[in-house]
Amino acid sequence: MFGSDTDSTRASTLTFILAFIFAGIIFMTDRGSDRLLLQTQTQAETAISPGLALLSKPIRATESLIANYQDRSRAVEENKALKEELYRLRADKQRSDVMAIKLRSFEQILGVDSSWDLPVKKIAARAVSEVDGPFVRSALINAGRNKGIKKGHPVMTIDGLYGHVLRAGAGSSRVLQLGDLNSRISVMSVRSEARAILSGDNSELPRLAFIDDRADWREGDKVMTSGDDGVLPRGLPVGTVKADEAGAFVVALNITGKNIDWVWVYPFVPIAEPAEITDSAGEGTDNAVIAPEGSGVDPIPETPQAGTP
Amino acid sequence: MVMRGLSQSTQGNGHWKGILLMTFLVFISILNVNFLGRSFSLICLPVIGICLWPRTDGAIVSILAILIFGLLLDLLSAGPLGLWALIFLSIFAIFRPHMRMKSHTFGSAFGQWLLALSFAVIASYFLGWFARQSRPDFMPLLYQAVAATVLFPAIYALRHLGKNLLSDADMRGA
Repeated sequence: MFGSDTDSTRASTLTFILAFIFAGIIFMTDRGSDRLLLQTQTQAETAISPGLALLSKPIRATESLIANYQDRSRAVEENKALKEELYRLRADKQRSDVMAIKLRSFEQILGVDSSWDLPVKKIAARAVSEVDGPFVRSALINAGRNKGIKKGHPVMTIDGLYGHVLRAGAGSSRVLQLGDLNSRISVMSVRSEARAILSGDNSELPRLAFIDDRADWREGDKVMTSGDDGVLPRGLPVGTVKADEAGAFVVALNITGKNIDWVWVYPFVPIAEPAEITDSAGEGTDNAVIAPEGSGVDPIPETPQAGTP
Repeated sequence: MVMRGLSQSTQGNGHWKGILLMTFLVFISILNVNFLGRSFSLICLPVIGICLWPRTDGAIVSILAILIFGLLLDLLSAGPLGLWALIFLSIFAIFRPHMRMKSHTFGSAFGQWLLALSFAVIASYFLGWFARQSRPDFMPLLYQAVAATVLFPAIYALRHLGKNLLSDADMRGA
């Protein structure tokens, strides 16, 4: 099959066949959720991350230079637009301050805390590699467990939610973008608070799935995370609703078409599983009855101790 | 399909130049470039390294190096593991760049590159479909192919420059 029958040729042919079979076996066994050599992958990413950061610097610098030039060329009209936005935002800020005072008063009256669960702390990182291919949409950032990043943490850019951490290595992390085929996050409309699942399909426009018949979604709605999944915090901006050719709702992500250089990671602690809460609450309270104060019901029924009548 | 058979004048351990070029291209290929509001992935770029693989009699080392680079690209691009390794090996076997009898001209290299790229795009489309169990979007693949083709002359020039700088006089044209 591989031609002349010298020893070297036979060895080369055999090497090629073995290499091809090896690659084929790896390809076949890699299908599925439990990826082969996951640890190797994380280690390879961690090892290569500093080199990629170095290589990406001139590319990002060039992109910034071009972006700066484009910004300068439209500086006058942008300045005018920004002034108009500033006037509008001043009014919004005043309204927001008044609303905050009202909200605080209501919270005090009702004794509730309606604050959102966005963490104050942010971990800055650089996106050193980004893959926007037909099979995967992910990025490699140059911060990992050494900075406190864990699997599941949301990753933001200045424009909005970028994705979440798929796996965290020692000094790098793999981020799954919102548009990836495997990405599913719960979102809501800012206008109507209608819920849906933002489902990635490796395209520029991930679609809204599992929309309730009564849910009020409209084209132009701003989309943010709902926090219903307990994995991502509520209130992270995602994008804007559009209708595709078939009339289905898709989302134009805020990050699409933007230069991704610096990102930040929210070290958000997801809501713990109920079983974990029960375990940590202490033993012997499994049969506890929670009753309102003054109801006359003993919240913890007396259970006979062993050895007592 | 002969994996060896060079004339004595071109035999040598030239594969390290191929390894050097592939290392550079694999690193570059996982960096994306944003241009005109669109993000371009350069994942097809290492295929140039296979097409321009130096003439050498070290086929075994070349095969192993190409396998490793394929797997490395799969690992770093977080794609289906083994996909690029299979494609690289197939292109190497089909075009046998290490066995070409004379040095590439730009035209011949570009022609071979277009053929190899077409094969790579089609193979990655179907292999990716098989691996992900869903039909991939063809447009990103096309953009990747176009981006790599645009960069081909620069890589060719870089490789030519490197060859002149790193090779001795006898090996030039390898």
